[in-house]
Amino acid sequence: MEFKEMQSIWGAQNSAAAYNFDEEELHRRILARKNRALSIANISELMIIGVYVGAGVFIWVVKMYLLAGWLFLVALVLVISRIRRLIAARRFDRSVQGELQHALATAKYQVRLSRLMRWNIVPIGVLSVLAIGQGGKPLWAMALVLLFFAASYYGAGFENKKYVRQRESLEALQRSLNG
Amino acid sequence: MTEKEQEHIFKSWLGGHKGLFFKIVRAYALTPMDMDDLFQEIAIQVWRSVPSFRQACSVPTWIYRIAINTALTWTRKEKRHRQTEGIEEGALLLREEGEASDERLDWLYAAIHQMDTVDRPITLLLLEGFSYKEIAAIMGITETNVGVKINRIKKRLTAKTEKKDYHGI
Repeated sequence: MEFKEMQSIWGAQNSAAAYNFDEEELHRRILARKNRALSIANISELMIIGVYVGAGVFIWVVKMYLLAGWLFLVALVLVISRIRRLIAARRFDRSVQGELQHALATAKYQVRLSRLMRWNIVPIGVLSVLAIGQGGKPLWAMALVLLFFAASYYGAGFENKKYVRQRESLEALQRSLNG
Repeated sequence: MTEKEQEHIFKSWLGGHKGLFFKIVRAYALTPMDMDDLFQEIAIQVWRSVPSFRQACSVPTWIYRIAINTALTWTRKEKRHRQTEGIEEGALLLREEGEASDERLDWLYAAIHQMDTVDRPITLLLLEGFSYKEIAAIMGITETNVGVKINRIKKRLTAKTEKKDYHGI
């Protein structure tokens, strides 16, 4: 069986389409998606920034200046990363390679962001425990807070691994495309 | 571009090239729900791409480019993350037409389904009659690389038919 014959079998589909579609239903779905302008990833990114700024303001008010300063600094790093990511997104073309490079850049960004967020738990945890200690709270309260931050750090490791796996599968796809 | 203009262009693309949409959907999805989901996703991405179309290539080439990228992204996503919301039972977008299916075509689609993520779009473009240069542009790889891959794909497909791993070809 020659490839040319396969091409003619393939071409025969053009004369008789095997499927049709409901135009009204498609229009309804497009409108539904259009109204959801921001993607979930975008919203969660903005929410994290908002939470850091909000928490920073709150902690500033209760005069824990060092911790508040740290939260503002992290929020600033997040804003800069976000701007850099959005600017970088414009330089990819619409070829498969271009879209793949874009997806890979986004995956690398997510890996970096989740790693940053994970390591960020350490200084926040330490500063929080110190603040509790200075406030004269009992030892068990400090231990409880420390345990909470340790659990958060452990849980954040799973999230990071998920993004690393995504990045690795995209890298494998790129190797296969260029190989 | 106004929204009305965008919609008008999108409708004319969809009407004029619907066979192209169906072929990609059938090459990537197996179940009716998945086919419906992928068709919706491709249609939405093509609709979004209308304002950025600069006529540097033909409309079918543009649609193929968007559709293949969408299908690749869709394939990468885990099933539970796919956009099935808004799809109510019995409200499927796609419906099969009455024509009896060609066994040889079914075999060809089955063979395409078995291909890896990179070979599949190249095979589709090749079957569609795109030149090496056009395939290279759509895929974003060199013509030499396209040539090597096509050579391998053709050999594999022909070998499959020689092994009588087919129905009716």
